[in-house]
Amino acid sequence: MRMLSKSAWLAAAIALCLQPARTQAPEKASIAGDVVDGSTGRGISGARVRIQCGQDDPLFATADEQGGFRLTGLNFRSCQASARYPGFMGAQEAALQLSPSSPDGQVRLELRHYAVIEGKVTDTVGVPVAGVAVEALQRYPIGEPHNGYIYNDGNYQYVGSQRAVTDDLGEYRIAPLAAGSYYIFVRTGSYYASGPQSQPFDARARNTFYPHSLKPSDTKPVELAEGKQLRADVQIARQGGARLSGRILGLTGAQPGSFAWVRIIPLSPGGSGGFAKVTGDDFTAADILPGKYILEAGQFAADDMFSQNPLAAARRTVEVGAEDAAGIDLALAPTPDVSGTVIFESGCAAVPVWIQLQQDSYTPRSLHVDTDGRFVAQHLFPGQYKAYVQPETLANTFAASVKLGDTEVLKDGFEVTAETTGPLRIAMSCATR
Amino acid sequence: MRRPTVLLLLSSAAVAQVALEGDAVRKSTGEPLPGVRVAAMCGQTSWAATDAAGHFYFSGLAAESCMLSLDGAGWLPRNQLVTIGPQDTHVTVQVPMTPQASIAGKVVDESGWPVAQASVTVAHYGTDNGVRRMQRVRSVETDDRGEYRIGKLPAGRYYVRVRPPEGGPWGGNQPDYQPAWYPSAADTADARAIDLREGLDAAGIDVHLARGGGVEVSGRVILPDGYQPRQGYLYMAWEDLGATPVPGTGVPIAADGSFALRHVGPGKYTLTASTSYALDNSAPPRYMTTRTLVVAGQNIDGISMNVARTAVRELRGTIVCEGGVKPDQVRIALQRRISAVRLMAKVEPDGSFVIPGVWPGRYTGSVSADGGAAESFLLGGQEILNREIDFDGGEASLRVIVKERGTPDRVSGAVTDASDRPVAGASVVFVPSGATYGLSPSGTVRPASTDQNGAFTWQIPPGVYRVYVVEEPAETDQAMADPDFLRTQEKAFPPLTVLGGENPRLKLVLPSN
Repeated sequence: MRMLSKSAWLAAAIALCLQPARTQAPEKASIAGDVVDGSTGRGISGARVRIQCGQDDPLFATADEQGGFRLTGLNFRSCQASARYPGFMGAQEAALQLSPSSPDGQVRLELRHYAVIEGKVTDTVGVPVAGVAVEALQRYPIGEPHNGYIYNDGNYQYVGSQRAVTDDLGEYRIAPLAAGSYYIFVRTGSYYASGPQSQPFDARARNTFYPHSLKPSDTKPVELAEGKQLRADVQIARQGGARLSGRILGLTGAQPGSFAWVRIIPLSPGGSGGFAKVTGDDFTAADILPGKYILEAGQFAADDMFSQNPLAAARRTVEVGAEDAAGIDLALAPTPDVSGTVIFESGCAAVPVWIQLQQDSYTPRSLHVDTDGRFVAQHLFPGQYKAYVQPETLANTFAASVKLGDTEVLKDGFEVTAETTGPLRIAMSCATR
Repeated sequence: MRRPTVLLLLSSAAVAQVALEGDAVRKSTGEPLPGVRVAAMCGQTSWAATDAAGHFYFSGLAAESCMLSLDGAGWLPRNQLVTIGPQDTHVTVQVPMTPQASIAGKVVDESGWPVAQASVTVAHYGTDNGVRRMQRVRSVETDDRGEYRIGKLPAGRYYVRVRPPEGGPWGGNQPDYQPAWYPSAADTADARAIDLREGLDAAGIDVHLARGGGVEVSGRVILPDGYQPRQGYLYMAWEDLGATPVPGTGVPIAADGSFALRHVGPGKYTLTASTSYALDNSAPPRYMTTRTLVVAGQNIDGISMNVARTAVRELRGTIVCEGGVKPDQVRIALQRRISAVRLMAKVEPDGSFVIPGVWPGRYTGSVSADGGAAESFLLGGQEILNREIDFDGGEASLRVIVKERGTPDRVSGAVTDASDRPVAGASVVFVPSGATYGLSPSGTVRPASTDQNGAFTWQIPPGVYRVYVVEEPAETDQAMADPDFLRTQEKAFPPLTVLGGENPRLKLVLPSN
């Protein structure tokens, strides 16, 4: 056996001494970082930082003069860091995973100044209007997926961003807003905060775009830069329209106590929807703006207070011009019951499912279906429907197919007419999607 | 400028066309009020605004009476009945308006930073079915500066309550902040009153929200064997402002059924564990259970909630008709409190009835009858007529008693002040003897309004009534909850006995202040 030289022993000893001692795993974690103004990069002194780790009570820190902060003694968990400071957009969030191998989280939280639009809403004679909703809309091309659709002029969709309600002096303030272009839109149909004895609704007061237009194409958006505040006073546009009248056919001999309504559904941009006045078999609707509409009549049992199960219904599309239109008859037909089945692919356990039949502009019809899979959706309004299906339990199943007759309707939905009876066949799969 | 009267003489079959003009004036001084919006409801509704001299004008009206509705910035809305006689071609009225009061302030957190999107409610004490309790007047949200303003308030004593935005100023699912009464009280008993005089703008009503506080409420939801809900939620609805349940945020139930609600403030709550996506949808959830909970200063743990298949009952009952009322003239309903679902009874000619689809929860019973008045509506022996009770889903029978109500009789009269001047636009309230005025009264008759000459005509069933006159209709609810007001009026106006046939014309002289 070869002996080590003295120098080799010495080298080995030095190497051992230089080698770091085996570190003990840290017991707690920390998060440090900066809160900065996103537009200048400068630290925001006094900004407040909130750290939420799992379900623990949140911890708070205040940024120092340079915007820096540090929180120690945290548990190893998944944490969310957020910051806020008055005048800046709401808390920006950052996720951190704290673990013994990564105990010190670093985060940079950027906040941006928000912009404000405020103004006053007056009626056609200049009197402030209390309690109307004012919305800041942003314009996108038709077809882009956006939530909060408010208005569609055929070429663009106008999507709600923020809203406010005018106070008793007609004043509103919409904030926080990011920099951008906004169309200010006043909804006149939403008087709900004006006072103890609010006035009757003025049917000729129309939804209005800033400053005084019925259509967004007749106006310009408000251009907002970051951190700026602009004033946009709106005067509500008032305009009369045509009077529609006609009869609901088929009501005679209806069951005692039943009632009927006629709904006016606008298909054209800026159309004026609502309910017609029904007296006996006759209906009238005043001040309807020019455009295309669906007139829909429904007859309901006396105890159907929420008009959910029409006994009979009628639907008709009409083109409204500047002139009054009389003699519009709506012929009621019994509403159909659509039956169906839910089946589970081989190997999938049958579980109860929940079906929502969603028709545009209606409260969806909900059905709970037991494991036998049979269901009947009674008294459906005619119209276009989509079926949304999901298991009521944690079972990993989903609707792979919905067929009306032989037609696949899961994606594009289906039309219900007075003759539609089904069957609606829902196939549930438990394969990996 | 006064416009010339226009008189159109039409064929004898047509109703005469009438011009109606008037002035909006400040009630206390008679000063003219420009910029007031006026709606004239005379069959159809016409609109105008007062000019610089406070004047408004409508022409071509064809009606026996009109209701004028006036509103303007800084003023309480005011309705004024106008009677148009058969010979009238031109009617002139003066509508006195009262300055509004308002409450404004800021909601701040523990550091004095603004809290945006907090819900601010102005409340006052009122009477609900004879019980004096705090009631909501109006609510608004704070803006980005934490500021709020609530106007259109009549003079009176108010309280301000703030509910933090969901998750507090920081958002998120775990609320750190408690609701508070002005200035920073957790309990209604510690709320500070705000006394508003007519026309007073009370600014600086700032509310301080505190972080943390409250207690933890925890327990376990016991699910049926083998049932793992896709989405199980525990909801807390609290009885806000004394009576109105407010749906709380849903808290997910863990896979093992455990739940924990933190920072729960003092109050009475309804806990609902449900497999439904919403607290109280229009249809019963498949599985649910409900219990009430009173939270004080201590944590509450070990709550056990045994979720079972929702019991949906068909409740059956009978109608007892006294007098000439027929069962098919009776309408019976159970109203769910939170979701506003109304379950109607199917009534048979023999007086039996059934209400299908009743599932556990809180209900109010209502009964109406053509020519009759409901005396009682019992659910399982408990009175539910215009009253809320919790239905536990068990078997229960129903019983409704309806008594014939005499044909309403015409009562007419006039209201004058102590100097014999007519009091226009006042509310005349008739409360059946032994009943109490309330916002959802069982026996109170809708108030009559005095016209431009202080006159009123109203239809009320025979009986004995207390009569009250409220000069400012916007203040009716507050006045009718004020014992001093009631005492003074009861001293001035003796009980009124309404008989079948012609009743003597009433002369109501307001007591001097």
